[in-house]
Amino acid sequence: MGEQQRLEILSALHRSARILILDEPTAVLAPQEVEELFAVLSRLREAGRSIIFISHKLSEITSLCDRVTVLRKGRRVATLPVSEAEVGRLAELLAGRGVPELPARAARAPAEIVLELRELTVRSELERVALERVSLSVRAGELVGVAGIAGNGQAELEEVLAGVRRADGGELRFAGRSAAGWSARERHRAGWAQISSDRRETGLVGGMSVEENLAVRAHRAPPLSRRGFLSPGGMRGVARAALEEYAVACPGPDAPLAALSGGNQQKVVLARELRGRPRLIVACSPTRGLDVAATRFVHETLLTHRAEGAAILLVSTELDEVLALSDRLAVLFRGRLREVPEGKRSRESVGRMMLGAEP
Amino acid sequence: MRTALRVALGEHMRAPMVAVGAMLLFALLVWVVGYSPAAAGRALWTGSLGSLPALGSTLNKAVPLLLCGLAVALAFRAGALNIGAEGQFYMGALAALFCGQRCAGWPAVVLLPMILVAGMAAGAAWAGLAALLRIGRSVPEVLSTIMLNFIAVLAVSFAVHGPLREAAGAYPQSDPLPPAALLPRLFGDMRLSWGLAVALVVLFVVGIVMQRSTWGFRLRAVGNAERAAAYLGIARAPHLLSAMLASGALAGLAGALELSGVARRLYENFSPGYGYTAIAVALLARLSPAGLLPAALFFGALESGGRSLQTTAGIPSVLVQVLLGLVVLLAVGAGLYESRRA
Repeated sequence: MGEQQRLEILSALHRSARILILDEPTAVLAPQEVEELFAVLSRLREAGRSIIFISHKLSEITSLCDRVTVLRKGRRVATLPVSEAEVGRLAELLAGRGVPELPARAARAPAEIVLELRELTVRSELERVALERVSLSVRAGELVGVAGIAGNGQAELEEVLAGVRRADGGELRFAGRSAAGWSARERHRAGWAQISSDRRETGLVGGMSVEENLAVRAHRAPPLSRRGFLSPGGMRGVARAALEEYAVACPGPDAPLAALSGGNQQKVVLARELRGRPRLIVACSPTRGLDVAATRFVHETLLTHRAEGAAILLVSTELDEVLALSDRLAVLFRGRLREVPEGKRSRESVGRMMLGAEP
Repeated sequence: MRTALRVALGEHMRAPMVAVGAMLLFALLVWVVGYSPAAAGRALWTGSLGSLPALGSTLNKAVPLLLCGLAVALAFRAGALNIGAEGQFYMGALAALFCGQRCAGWPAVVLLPMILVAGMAAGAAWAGLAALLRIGRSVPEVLSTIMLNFIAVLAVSFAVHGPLREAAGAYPQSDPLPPAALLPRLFGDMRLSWGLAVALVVLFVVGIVMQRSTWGFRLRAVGNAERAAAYLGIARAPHLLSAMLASGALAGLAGALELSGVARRLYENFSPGYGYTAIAVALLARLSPAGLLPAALFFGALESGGRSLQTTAGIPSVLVQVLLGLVVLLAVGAGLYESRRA
């Protein structure tokens, strides 16, 4: 994805477009690459080109742009010169309220290991090594982050963890038991939640209603079904409770999923996956494409579950997110996973690791 | 193909408008070719609904269309493009004939259910073959089911020329089923068979299973978003297989009912393309069980009325095939139009 992105930007530059519209161009780039992109964009601006830069990262707006327009729920909220827009004010305009701080972390005693990967190896279709002897453990009540630029093995890692792909070597253990052969269904039954990096393709069933999407994971058991037949009342009840608990903006439980915004669709994913307090949450790019308020909601939800003792593995290409949330942090580069040393958790050194350099 | 399918199922398609539109275009075509649209309309009417025997014929043709349409709809919902209802229909009839002749002395209470079950099993096996090829070897079921249609038609052809040819040996056809294996007629003068009642019960039961069972729910999830379903714990292979087996069983049942209730013996061209017309039936019904009944009746009336076009109005009955084609085109086209506007 990162490569595709770069190619698209290059081709736009090559065709010497007079107006350049960039929609979240930095989502899959490393910090150093972002700086390069910004340098190029600044030169283009000085050469008289117009640039429309769409981003949900406020720091990018303030460092690059001249004027900024804030959209919220499809309406223009404000347009102002960037010199008058500091980050706090923009975030407030975006969220429609003051943005609360993330909850402080409680110190915890070490708990049991819930998820463990030992020398996990995956070869891609072209026999290229996609993951090479990746070892990792996540304890109950701990949030472990995996940073990295897209295309360095995240997709394969997600597939192996979701249970839709078998690893070519190594071990995968859940709560001490070997889980490599478990199907996606068995994983879910064991208390393993999976937040997919691609809501549309793998996280939700696009053609189904909101309540059907909420039911799809656990539809085989009461209250969602009885003796092999769906129970409409049970499904409605579960859906209503979920829509309320997660404050999903939604016309009703039987609304088509497509009627929801990305942020509300992600809330549906969260409500479905986190129903019944899972022991393990694997969250892959859980805030991709979400606005500030929805991102904040996802972060708070993850931290709440962490505080309640869930083990969380967060695989994300958003460096800031991984830095802010993780108890421990590792970087995926060309299929190899390296833990970030305790004293080296700055943006700069993690950014260097994302490009394969020493911290 | 899959996109066209999804488009054809567009939310606001108006099936009756499609039917009326197709009839108007058909009238225009008849006029352009040089016949009288009014005479064609009269012939269609008298041949399909105008008399008790005509109505009986329409209903008898609606039975295989209904069951095969249900077969196609069930498979399509699961994302399995079963184009092979025709072949499964033939195999169902062949198995029913074989079974009926082998156990000729048995009482009807045993023999009748047995030949229906034999037909279902044969249809299911024929469709299951395509499902296994898809699962094990990634052979698209669209292709394999069409190929299997040819094999099934030729297998029946071989059977009625060879091992199952009638004792008299006059025509390439089988002997009739023994009397105990024949479905009684519902009403004598309408030549209407009990097959209609069986088909309606099956439609009701399968409709409930498709809409309300957890299995039907999973089929829809797989058909809707195969990748997402896998991530959500609904594996593709068992659902593809079970959908194809159920679909084949329905088409095979249609073949057995046609043999036992209407045709009574097997011959070449046993089906006038029911299995193919059933695809149009399923699309016109937007794959919904409730929509299948009117769609099957509509196509049954066209099949039945088409014959009298030739006999009473002297209009080539192949023109009715054009009418069937128009209905499918309009159904898909209306879906496209709606999705453009959306």
